[in-house]
Amino acid sequence: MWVFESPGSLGWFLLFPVLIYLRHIRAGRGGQVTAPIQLWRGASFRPRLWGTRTWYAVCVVAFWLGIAALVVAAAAPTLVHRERVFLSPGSDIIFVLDESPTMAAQDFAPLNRFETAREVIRTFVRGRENDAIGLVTFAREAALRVPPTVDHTTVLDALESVRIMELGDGTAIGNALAVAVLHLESSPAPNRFIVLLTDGINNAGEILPQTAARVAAQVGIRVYTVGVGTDGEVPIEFEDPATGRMFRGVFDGGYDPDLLREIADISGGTFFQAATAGTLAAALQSVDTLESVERRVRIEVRRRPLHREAILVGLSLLLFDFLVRKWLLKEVL
Amino acid sequence: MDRSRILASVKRIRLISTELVENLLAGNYRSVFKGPGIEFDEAREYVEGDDVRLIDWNVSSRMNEVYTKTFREERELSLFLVVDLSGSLDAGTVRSRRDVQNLLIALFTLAAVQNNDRVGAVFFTDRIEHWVPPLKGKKHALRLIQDAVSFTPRGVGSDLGLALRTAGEALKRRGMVVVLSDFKTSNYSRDLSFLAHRQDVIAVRISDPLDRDFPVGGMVRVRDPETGRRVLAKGNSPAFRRQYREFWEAQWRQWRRECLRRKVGMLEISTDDDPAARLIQYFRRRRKR
Repeated sequence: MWVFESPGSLGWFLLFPVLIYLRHIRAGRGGQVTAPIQLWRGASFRPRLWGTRTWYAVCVVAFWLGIAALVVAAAAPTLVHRERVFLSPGSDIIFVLDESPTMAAQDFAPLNRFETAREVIRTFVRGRENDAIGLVTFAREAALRVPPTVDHTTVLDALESVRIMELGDGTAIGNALAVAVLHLESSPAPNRFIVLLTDGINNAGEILPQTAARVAAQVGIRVYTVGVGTDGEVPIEFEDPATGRMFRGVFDGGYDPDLLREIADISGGTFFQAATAGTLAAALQSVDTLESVERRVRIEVRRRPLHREAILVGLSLLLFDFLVRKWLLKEVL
Repeated sequence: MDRSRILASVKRIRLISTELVENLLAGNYRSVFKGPGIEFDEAREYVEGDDVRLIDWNVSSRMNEVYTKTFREERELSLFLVVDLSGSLDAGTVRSRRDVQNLLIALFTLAAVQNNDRVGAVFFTDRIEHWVPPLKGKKHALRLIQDAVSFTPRGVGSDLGLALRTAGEALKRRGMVVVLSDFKTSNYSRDLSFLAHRQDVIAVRISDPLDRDFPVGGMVRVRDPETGRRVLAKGNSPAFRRQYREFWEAQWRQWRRECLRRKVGMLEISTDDDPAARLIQYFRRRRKR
């Protein structure tokens, strides 16, 4: 944000009309030759000097901008930067997002399940300024996209780049949880939790979800589970990233609420069912509320004086004006 | 201008001009300013050597002697000056056009006084600023010169047509009208033509080297003394100097065309000329015609 330390100096601008009059309009100003250039009520001499006139106009503008910059410099412009410094340590969070083909099911109008999940995660991330957030996605395989970091831009970018079925066809909930736990385990943060969003039953991977949940509980990591999707048949449409082929069809099936509830119970988290976009957003809001910690924030004000830059700009404009007049236009008088 | 400076400059002009007037009058002025015509004076006996064409046959037959007519020139000559006081005459490179104009006014006026002619003047800008009726006498002439030097015009611009029209209406008898202007004006040709029918008009164009060529140099702002209009001039651009020359040459040709068509005498005196020398040269040339 901009402020002027001594805004009174801006009052010099009030003198501008007078100065402009004295420099440009006053009949008796110096630097001009008096000579007839027209007949009385007759022909007048109008030289065709477009280049010169343009340069001259540029010079006039540069001159007054230069003076204006110096006036601004006199008013001591300062860039004030207010920064919130979090005094309390934040939580470490890892989102575990299902990217199996069934996430393309279109029962979350107008988007599909995956896009809706992406949207609510984005909202969640924006609200957790002080927390380190990571991202794990899974299908047949599980992969860490971003380790927990406070650089939320990276997290959001990574979230943006996730494509359905990049990690194959299947749902390895256990593996995904294990990856997430692995990356939270060594974190010194007092609060650590995992948010698992899935719409399938565990049908791949070497680790049982319950096992992973128990490991999480042992190291004090809570797992919030969100079951995404409705029961019954839903239309599905997605593009296979490997072949570029579009898949369309009808899918019937859903997540395993018992398993998800069990995981939550083992680790001390909560299980949510999200059948619509609204309930999905509400689920993440609940997580947000449950995991809210007292934040102590200090606002740090940093001032960066900019008068030096203003003086530099002003003097260069004046120098430009001078050089163009003397060297390019060869002004005399 | 304060009074002492006016008097000083009047004195200076008189000093310069008195001698010049002597030169001017050495036959030249008289023969140019012939007056409206000659009038019959008397008839006297023919003496051998008289022009036989002038023998008055009516008187000769009545008197049974050969009589010849004698004439004398019409003495009632008036010289009238039309003086342009517009701002454009204040400018000049060598000296101001105004100086040249004042000197010319003094020369004409004093010459007329020496010759016992009447002299009057009209001073104009965009209006008639001042009117000096044609009168005889040294005192009158000096007043005219002083007026010319000291007059501060209220108007701007130069309505030469108006001044010529006014002079034409006011001057009943044929005389000499000298226009002292830079002719940086327009729409005067009709009035010039009317005046030239009844008066012997000499158009004295007071010019300046700057009226022809823009000096070589850099960029400069040029301000018009009458309108205050400013233009950028670029003395180092041949294209600009060509445009400038074309503009003023066109005006100059226009002036010459007007004068030639109306059979008006033309005299161009630049600020870097010697006005008296130019004047004497002009009268000498005119006498030869």
